[in-house]
Amino acid sequence: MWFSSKPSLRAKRSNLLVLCLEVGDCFVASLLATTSLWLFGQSRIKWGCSCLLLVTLLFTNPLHSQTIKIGSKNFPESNILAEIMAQLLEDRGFSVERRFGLGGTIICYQGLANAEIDVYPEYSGTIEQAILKLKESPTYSELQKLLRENHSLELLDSFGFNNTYAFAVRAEFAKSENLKNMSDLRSHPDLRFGLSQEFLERGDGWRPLAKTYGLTADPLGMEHALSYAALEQNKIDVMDVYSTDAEIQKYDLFCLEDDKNFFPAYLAAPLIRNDVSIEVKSILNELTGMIDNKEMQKLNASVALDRKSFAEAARSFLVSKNLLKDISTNVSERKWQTLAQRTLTHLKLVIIALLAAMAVAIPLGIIIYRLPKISKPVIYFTGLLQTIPSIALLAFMIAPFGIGTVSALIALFLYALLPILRSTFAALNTIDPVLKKVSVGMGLTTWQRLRHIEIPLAAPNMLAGIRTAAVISVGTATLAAFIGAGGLGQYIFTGVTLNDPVIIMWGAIPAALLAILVELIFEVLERWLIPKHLLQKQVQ
Amino acid sequence: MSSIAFDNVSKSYREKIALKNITLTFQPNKTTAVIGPSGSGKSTLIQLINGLLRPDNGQVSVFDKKINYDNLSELRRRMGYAVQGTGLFPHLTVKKNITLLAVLENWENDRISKRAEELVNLVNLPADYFNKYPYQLSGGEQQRVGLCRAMMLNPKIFLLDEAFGALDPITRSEIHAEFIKLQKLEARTIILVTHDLREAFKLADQVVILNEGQVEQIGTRKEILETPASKFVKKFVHMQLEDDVV
Repeated sequence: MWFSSKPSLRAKRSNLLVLCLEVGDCFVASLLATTSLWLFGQSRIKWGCSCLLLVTLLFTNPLHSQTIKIGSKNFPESNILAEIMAQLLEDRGFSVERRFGLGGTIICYQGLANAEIDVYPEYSGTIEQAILKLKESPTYSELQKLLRENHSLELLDSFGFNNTYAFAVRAEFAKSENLKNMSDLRSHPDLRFGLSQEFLERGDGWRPLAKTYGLTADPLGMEHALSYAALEQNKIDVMDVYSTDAEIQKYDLFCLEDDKNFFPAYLAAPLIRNDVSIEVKSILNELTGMIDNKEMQKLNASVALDRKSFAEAARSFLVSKNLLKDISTNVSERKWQTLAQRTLTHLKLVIIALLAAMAVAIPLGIIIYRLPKISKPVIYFTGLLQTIPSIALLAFMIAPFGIGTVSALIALFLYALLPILRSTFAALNTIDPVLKKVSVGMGLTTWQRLRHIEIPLAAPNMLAGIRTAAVISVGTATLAAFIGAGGLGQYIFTGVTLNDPVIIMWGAIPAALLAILVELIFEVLERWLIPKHLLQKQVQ
Repeated sequence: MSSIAFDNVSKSYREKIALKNITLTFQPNKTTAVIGPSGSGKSTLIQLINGLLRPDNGQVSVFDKKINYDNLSELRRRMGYAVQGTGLFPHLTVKKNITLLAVLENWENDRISKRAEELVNLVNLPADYFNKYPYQLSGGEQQRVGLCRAMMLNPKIFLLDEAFGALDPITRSEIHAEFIKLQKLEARTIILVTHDLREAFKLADQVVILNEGQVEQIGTRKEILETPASKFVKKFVHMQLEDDVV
């Protein structure tokens, strides 16, 4: 079956491109940084450069093995489904790369189209409306055909649940009033409706629904989270829910059957690239029909209410359905492994971006020091980059560079430019003019002055700028998870969507420790590279 | 010959005239002091010799050749240069300050060390100063290192721009003694810019008095004291020497 697991040429090429970019990035960045630091001409610095180069090479992994890259959107249900797919594939011997918590439908879909991910869980209604923007509603099999033929994607059969809008009532109320279908609401004109503002206002919301079902009620606009409590306390009788909400079980609610098929179907299923091996698809097909609405509500509840991790929730589901061949591996062991992996990814992002920024900003700082006429526009421009909110800058990178590492690196690189550029420029400009005059008058050439006098004298301030850039990068890199580059930000994004401070801490604490570590490293570098009396001078 | 000549040289900064139609020859292997009140153009004059400044009009010749402004580094290395406040590079040790030019000229290590030791002996600096940084030295010691650095490549021309200006009187007279000793040992063409007439008289064979960008008088100590060329010279000499008495 080797041929079926062979990715298509296109995928291969774009994989190769990403690979080249990554490897190239590391190499070029570290080489340039090394060269520019070589100017210092001190053996210690040369030594330090070599170490940096070595570290970068260690981080550069030129041999990506054949792995399945699984994406998910940044809400719990998507994470859980993706984790279920991931664990199932891992159980069958595939290696899996998790790119979870991507910032939305378009980012996931783009990632899939560009082969940056191979599969992610998607909803049929979302494909219809947000991705393909179809005017009419095709059937599920029509949709599958459309994707296969026009988009080289395959929508596998549904997991078995439909996450759509639904109207919910208290379970015992449904029983006593004999409510089963939405049409039954018609015979209860006195019911109190509490609906979310969004549902009341959207074009395919309350108004056409009321028309379809002939409802005459005057619904109350309410904050969604409050409606549950209001329903429980008997202040309202009907509310709108998502049919897989965790709260449905918690509050013991009953979802009325949409007997006139007013709501579009949002059947969840793996959306996968055509070129992924049949083997993978058939393994994922084992999940077909395994998760009904109740099961999904349970899974959502175990994460949202019982504070289980996605991995734990996914695992207990797979075990309960007897889908795993090997149940000996322990989820909690993976916790630390994941932490180490994310920390390493984080560091890698910071180091490569920083080296690249040094490679560009230091020479650029020297150029604008020599050509003061262009210094203002250049500094102004890099300053402008700094004013773009980091999350927006990351999002901008998706269009040209796709989701993942390359985009994150470029964004981090752009952010690190200004502190290094500005400090280099300022440091060179504040060198004692007498020393500059003497070095010219002695007969040093421009290059010799730069190398032996100006850069060494500017080094303390330049290093301070690099240090600032490094600390900023450690912080900003947490946002890289937003576009699928991984790192410690993944914990933070997950924690925020689950409103779980513990998960946030898993990302925030290591990130803070990294920042402190970076400070310490620079402290040591400074002592090592720069004669003490030059530092004292700086303090004064 | 190690001569320096100005031929009808003018230099101004924006509106302000610094030097006006200067024609002047500095005698080879002699010490010439350039003196005048501040703003008289003496600093401009010395910077025209090593090409830090270019004349607006006229011609400066060094080593009997018109200055080639396309290859100043080569010319400057044949001229020692020392400035007020020493201008030692704080990030380099004493030895590296002294030997920087020789290293860049690719001298052999033995030759570099030998020459550096020779120089520090000449100015009475202990050899174990080599590994110190400039900040660890006194002002006089720094000045001596500055002189060693300027002499490293054994230049035939020596430019001293207020090089002794910031020293206390005792250190200054010590350095003066060394300066005279060095010049006796091997005569060079030395241009010494100073604002101190006593220093000029003590060290120079010839004194150039500048005022408002023009030469008021060129002469020996005796000539200037006995036959001042203008009212300005008379007043200037009087003020400077009287100042000294006080």
